[in-house]
Amino acid sequence: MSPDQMRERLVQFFPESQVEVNDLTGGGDHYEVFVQSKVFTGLTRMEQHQKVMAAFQAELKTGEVHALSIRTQTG
Amino acid sequence: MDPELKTKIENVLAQKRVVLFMKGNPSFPQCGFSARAIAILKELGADFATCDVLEDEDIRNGIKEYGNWPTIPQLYIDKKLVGGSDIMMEMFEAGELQTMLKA
Repeated sequence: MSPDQMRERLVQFFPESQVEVNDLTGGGDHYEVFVQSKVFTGLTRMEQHQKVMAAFQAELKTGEVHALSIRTQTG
Repeated sequence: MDPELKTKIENVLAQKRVVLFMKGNPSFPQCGFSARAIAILKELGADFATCDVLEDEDIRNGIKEYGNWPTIPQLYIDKKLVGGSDIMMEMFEAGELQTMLKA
């Protein structure tokens, strides 16, 4: 999955949010993402991460995205 | 999920208060994220059990469904999912993991 596709997916799942995508190895399967969104308000850190992972559910399952490091922020 | 597999996972969770599902073992973690999780637990002097998901394909898939968490490692405290290595790191830096382990 390309960084652009990753970014697009995040924007689709988290409209009106700030998203950043960092391809850690350049191989398109180890990513670090940052999402700052209002939808995280009132959610635990775990629930916030679960929401981000849900956006890549299929790719995490097949291994197309092998590693996903996540940072989230409310607002 | 398959009741037998659920019981198997619950038996692992009953081993210790703190259980880490990981790739490899504490001496030889097989992935960077698992290595980071182990480093945090060791730094905190935690008494923990580990389960190597590479040794058991059923648990490897089952644990993802059990806690609704698609990646490894996964930290459980008192049979509850705390999170993966990113959350462990954030909680460690905020001093929250220390508090949880002492409770």
